[in-house]
Amino acid sequence: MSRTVALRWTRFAAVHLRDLLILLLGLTTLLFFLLRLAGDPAVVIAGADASAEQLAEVRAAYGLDRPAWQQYASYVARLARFDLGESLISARPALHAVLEVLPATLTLAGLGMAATLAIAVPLGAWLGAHWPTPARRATASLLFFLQGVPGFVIALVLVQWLAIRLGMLPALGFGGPSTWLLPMLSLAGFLAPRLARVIATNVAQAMSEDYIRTARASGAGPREVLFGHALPNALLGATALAGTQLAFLVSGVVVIEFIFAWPGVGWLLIESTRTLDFPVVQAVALVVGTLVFTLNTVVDALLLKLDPRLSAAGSQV
Amino acid sequence: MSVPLVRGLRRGLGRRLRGGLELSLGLGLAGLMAVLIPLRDQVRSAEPSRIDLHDRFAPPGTAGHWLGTDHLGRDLWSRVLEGLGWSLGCALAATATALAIGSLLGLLAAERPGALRTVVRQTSSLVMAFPGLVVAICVMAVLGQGFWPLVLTLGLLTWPVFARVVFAEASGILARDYVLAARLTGASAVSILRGHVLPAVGPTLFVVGAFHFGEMLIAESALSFLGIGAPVGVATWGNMLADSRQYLFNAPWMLAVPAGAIVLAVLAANLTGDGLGMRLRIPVRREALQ
Amino acid sequence: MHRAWQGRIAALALTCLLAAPATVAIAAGGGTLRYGITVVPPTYGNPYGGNGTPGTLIWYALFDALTRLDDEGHLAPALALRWEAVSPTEWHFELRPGVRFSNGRVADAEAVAATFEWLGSEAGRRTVIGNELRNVTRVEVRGPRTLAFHTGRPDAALPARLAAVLIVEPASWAELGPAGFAKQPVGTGPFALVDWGERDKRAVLRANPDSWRAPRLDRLEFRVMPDNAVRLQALVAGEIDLSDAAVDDLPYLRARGLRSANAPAMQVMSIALITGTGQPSPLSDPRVRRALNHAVDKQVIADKLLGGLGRPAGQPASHVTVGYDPQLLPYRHDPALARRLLSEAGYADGFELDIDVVVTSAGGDGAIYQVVQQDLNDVGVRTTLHARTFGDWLRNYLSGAWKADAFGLSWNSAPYNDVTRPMEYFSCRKRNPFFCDPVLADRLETVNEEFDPERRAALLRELSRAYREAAPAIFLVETVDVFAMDAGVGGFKIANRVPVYEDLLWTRPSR
Repeated sequence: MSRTVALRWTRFAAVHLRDLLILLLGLTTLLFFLLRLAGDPAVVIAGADASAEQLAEVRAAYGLDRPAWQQYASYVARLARFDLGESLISARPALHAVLEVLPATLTLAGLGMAATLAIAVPLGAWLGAHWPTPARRATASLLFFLQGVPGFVIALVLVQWLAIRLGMLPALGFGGPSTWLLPMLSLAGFLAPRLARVIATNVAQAMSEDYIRTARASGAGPREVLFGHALPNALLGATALAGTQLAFLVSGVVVIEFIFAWPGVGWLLIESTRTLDFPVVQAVALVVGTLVFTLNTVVDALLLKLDPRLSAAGSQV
Repeated sequence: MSVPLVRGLRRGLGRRLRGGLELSLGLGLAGLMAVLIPLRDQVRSAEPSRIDLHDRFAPPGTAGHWLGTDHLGRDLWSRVLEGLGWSLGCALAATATALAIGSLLGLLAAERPGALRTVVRQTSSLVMAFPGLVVAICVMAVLGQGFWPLVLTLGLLTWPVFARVVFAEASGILARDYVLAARLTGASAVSILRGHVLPAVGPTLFVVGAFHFGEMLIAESALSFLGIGAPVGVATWGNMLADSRQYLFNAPWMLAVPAGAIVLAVLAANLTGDGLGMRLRIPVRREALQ
Repeated sequence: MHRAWQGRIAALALTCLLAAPATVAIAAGGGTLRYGITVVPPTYGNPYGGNGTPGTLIWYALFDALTRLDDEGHLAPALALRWEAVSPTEWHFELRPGVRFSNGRVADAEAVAATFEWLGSEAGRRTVIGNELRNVTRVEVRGPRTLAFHTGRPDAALPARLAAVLIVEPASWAELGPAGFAKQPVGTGPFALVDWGERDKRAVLRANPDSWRAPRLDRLEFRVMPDNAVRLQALVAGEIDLSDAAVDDLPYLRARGLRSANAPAMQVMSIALITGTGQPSPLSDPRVRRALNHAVDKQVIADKLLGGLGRPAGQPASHVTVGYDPQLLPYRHDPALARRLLSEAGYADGFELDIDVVVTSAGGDGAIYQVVQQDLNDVGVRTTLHARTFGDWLRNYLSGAWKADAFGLSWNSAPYNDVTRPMEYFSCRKRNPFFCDPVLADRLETVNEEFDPERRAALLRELSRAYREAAPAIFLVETVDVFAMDAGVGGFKIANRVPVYEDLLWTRPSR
């Protein structure tokens, strides 16, 4: 690696690390004050039958009686020592609560993305590579149609048809492969049409580019033209969307998690927000924010490596 | 068939049909819906929110309820018509909000490099990483449930899509020679934005906006599905979907009717977007719903 | 398949090792039962973070209180066999002999007293359960199996109140602290925790054969499935054996060979009408409040939305609750009368009414509120429903800072099935009450000083009549808990809204 390239990557890393820190600080600050607008966790801890004295005691015990800025300052001070605090409800470390559910979300994200790619790449290549036939037109229209179906509707329809009409008995919850099928299909049903269409467009575009003509002229077969030249370029163009989709999956698709009893971060987020368990909400946001940011950075780096025409950072708003 | 011939054919066909079919289908569907909104009182079969507990779960095809009734005996056709105004209005207003905030910030960032651009960039990535559900719940806690709180939530959460598009387009245009020339001759920033940038960015915004509109429809339904969207009892497509969840097995039409409506509306938006994009030759890369 | 093997092995082991006749009944059962629930208690195995479902769904399998409600709603012995009031402010409880915690430690007076000592501490009083015990000034050990409870004010309902206080193993509690204990709870109940299963949302409990209410099952699994449709489908698919169910799903479930059971939830659903803030409001006029009660058709709600299992309500107590007066009929559905009462009160043109409601994801409440809204609109009271998050609702409820005129509220007599509980909480004795009638509050005080059960019940019935007249709320319906289960589930009974776990059994050899 030459010195300039090394320098470029160092700068890339430094810029992104700075951006991550700013992002996390922003997330923390905004969430901290937003959540305090949403309610008073002391009432949830103390319950509906709490007396005024009990409420006061709870507030004092959790430090909720201090001015907001003081609470914020001590929260950030603890955060700087990588201490995310304890759950107000279960008194367990908030980070543990997040790390407990993270594997389920990551598994679902991996499966969903794998299924999406497995469907979208061949379909996109097939659609984009050739002159439209009735079958292709019909498929393209179907994809276009499916793009308009909300993911949770796909999930509900799948549950209804597979489970009830066809008598299949899909397992629910986060367990072995038998529990993977439906959530995976629901996510792929939502994401694959988009990705397939982008890939198809890119492939079609690539097929009309000069270098394909050159390849054809130099005697490359249709297979080689597609898989050796057009598809790789089309996929490069689709990386950004695939990255966005993966980031979407990693942040926890709460409706899918709810429908399939999948204990992931989306679920934890909505539960902890509803019970006003602020430290857990913050922990979820910070962990997911870091993950998504890292993912985006990796995609950026990938694009940068694959396509050096792009400049390092600051090219986007 | 020789390659040049194919290419020529494709190009010729493309020119003639470029986006025409999509655009007319999309606009036709959208127009039909738009016409139905003011006419809904004339074409509906019952009072949309009228509960009749003696007439629950009537299947489609029942006399007086051609799309059936829901768990409270309300006529689904009348409700889906009522939801037309609410859901489409909400998606439209949310798109407009996101578009307004996003384009303003995108233009600012393109026009003013330096600190302002950095701030916009950081804010936009902050918003994209922000847990939207928390915002929805907090807005609901502070402002209550309603049309405008929902519009605000969706708009505040999704403007970066527009900011990115506008920034990319606008910075390209601002770097053009004729803009630089105009600037040298003393044209103000506002007049450059108005005279050169906006006309060029406008069509793109239209296309992105059409797709965004579809995403907003889906987002409204997802939030209502989770109980943090539209107010209780109001006939919106999202609320109708949320109601259907409990009766998936004994009244599947409660799912089919609003889902069908959403799919058609999103289809109309996407067709319009696609058709426009093709006609105006704007390559648009859609982002998945965050 | 695994079920059959486990059952056989357990049966074999028990018949080999134990010869006492009592164990034969246990040996006949065995097996695993999988119960689909919406959520694991937020405080896990710490039973002081809440006093009702969903927490009690798991806690009642792990712990006992001194007293408990039986499956008919009557107070029955649990860890305590007998109790008596030796003076208006002193009660003596005699404990059941030979009870052990699942870790082997004897549950004697010392152990039980330790629980109450902690609940009286500063940290303990902050908990929901500790708050219930504020009137208990001292708990004293008077013998290995005898405890004395001293109260500040006379409290005739103390034995019933203690049904809400589950007893934890004191050494583990002291050693691990509330958060640590929550992960490894130790109690005297029929089951003991194996694993909370956070990762796959499957809490596993094993039989505690030494429990005084030894179970007939080998294992009890709680599967967390927040979505009702998902639980239903899991039940049909044979993934779980037992679940709560919505009334509307019963025909569907029965058609698939599943059984159902129901029990009164010991609560009355209502729309509380805010009058206690002193703000001028149409609701301050009792005629208006009665008019609203007449406006709503409760019978059709009970028949159609509760499948005929619930009942229309007209007083704070449900028909199984201590204090219920069977002579008191619900307000008759009579929109014309409602309009007349409204005109008499000067509201012939009606008024605007904003109602804050919490709509659970189960959705049944939402349907009822919408019917109420329509019925009120029909008599000219222009009603708007505002959905609130529970936290938001609770904040308003505790502070009295409502933006609305009324709010959804359950008159909840669980966990001890005595109507004084909701009456106390919804009275002048609470701070910022939505309803405050000093006369009624004083009469409530007298009831708590009346130790003769008959006379106390008579006083409570009179009080119920007064509440009906005052109409602090639109009384809607008595709600029911509905359960659905595989036909292989046997011995199913419901006590205090929770299955009686020790009686449950699995009757099928395998699927």
